[in-house]
Amino acid sequence: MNTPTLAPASQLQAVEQFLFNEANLIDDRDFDAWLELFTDDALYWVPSNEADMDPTQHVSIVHDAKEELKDRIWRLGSGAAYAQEPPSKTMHQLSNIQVTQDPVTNEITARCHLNIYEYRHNHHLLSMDTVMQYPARCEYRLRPVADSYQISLRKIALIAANGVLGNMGFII
Amino acid sequence: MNTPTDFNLLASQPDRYHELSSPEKNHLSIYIKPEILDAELKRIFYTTWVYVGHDSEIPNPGDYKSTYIGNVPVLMTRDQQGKVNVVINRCMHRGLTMAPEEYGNCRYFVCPYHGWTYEADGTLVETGAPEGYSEGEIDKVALSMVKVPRVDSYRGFVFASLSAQGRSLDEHLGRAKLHMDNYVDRSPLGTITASKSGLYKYTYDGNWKIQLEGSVEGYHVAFTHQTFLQIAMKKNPDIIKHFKNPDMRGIDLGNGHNIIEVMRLPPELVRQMYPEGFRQQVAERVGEAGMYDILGTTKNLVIFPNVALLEHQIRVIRPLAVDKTLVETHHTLLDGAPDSVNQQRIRAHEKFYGPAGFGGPDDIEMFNRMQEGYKAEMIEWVYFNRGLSIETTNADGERIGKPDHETVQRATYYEWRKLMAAQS
Repeated sequence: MNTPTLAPASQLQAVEQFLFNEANLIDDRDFDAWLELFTDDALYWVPSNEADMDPTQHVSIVHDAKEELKDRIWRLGSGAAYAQEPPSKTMHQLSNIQVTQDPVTNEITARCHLNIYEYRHNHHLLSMDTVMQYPARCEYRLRPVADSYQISLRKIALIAANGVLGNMGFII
Repeated sequence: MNTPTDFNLLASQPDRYHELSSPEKNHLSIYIKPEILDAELKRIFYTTWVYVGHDSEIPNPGDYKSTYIGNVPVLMTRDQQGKVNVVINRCMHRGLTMAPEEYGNCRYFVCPYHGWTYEADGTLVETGAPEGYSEGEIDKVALSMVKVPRVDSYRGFVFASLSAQGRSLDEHLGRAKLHMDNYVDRSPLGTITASKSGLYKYTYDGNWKIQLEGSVEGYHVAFTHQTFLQIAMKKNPDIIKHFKNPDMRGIDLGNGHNIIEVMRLPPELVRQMYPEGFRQQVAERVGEAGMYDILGTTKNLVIFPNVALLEHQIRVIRPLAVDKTLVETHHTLLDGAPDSVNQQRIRAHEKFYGPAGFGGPDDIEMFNRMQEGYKAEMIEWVYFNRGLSIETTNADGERIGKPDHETVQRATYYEWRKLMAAQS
């Protein structure tokens, strides 16, 4: 793959800060505020088995339109999503952020590395009382809105998408 | 003198393991003792018919799938003549497993250690550097990969048995075949494609039988999956109320197989859910009444000992240790169905059964906690007597209960006891 044209430093910084803020909202469990970052036609997509399968022909781990994402968030707050009672603590760590902008549509593509650290304490299940890591290569599509962005695509290609994945009920 | 039975004593007597289970209850030891898992492998997994794959997973000559019968690694292959083989995945020289990928294609299996080369049916073609072997040192027939003695299939579901003797697959499947037909006859062509549309894998820290019991669990849905039901109720209230159809049943099909009916839709809702062209295609093969029955009834079918057909998946259960189990859910597409129908199957499987689904992960949480609770070894019993006193038997000899009774879990253990008693 050719080295993409570098975005201007100011744009790169703006996108990075946006993505860092997004990660903080998830890790702080401020899901209502997180939901507002998405466009109405957004797709939150975590492919299963391979990074580039066609989600109309193949199952995914997450394939949420905005309405479905609302259901997911509701469920996590219901107290009856047992796989997340107690809820996991997460830390979404981003790096290797590379930004390009479509000159016609102005849509921004941000590719990055994501490592999700996840810890779920459950004193019944000490065998699982450990920090899990879920490294992934991500692709965001962002639309400039006012002086910020909205997310139209949040694609997370876990390197272990074809692995034995346990409880991924937390927000990936 | 009447001494109460000391079940913990029975648990250390291999010729009496089958006495640890009864219709009402199972003794804790069958879930926690490694020796009993060893006995299950020898007496169940290595004697009876075990599901290894679907022929749609290996469509072309040279295709193979790596899988297991119990702990034994095997390869399900399609040879150059188009025939399905199941061979033990072990080089006959020094014992390596041959194929590092789960699914692949190759003309020959070539061992990377010394180059021994085998056909898909296990035939040893040549050793590596054969000039280094003298006359009489290599018997190519004896050193071909070991074929699993019996291989057969029904509607594309391939089963294999490590025992050369025993009842036929047809006899073994018995009354499960009708329900396997229902599963496949949703397709206008009467065939399905497995795994091409993906699969999920998970483990839980619990005994394999917990997942077998948990695959036909009508009782827990209202509790464990209340969030799923609430979301579904909001979206499709007309459909979701049919989870409570009073005509639905849980059925012991015999030979350890069992089924629960999870949902039954009336014809008008079948018409609402499925496009007309698709319904007509299905009806052409199975008749109109058959079409309404098949498309309207959601069933979870367990085929003893290691596979379940439910909704849009083939679920395969593999014991890794007495307290650790691997489960794979292979998604299936209906051949010949419109894209909208198959996409609905894809989305539905993700929504419930995926690792971020709204159902499956909560079940896994239950399983993990069960095995944790089993550490209280002084509490000896796990109960399966729900509905036992009102269970009926129909004209076909099937035990019947409601789907939220434990008729179906009891069904598994009639066969378990029979196979565990067969050898000492």
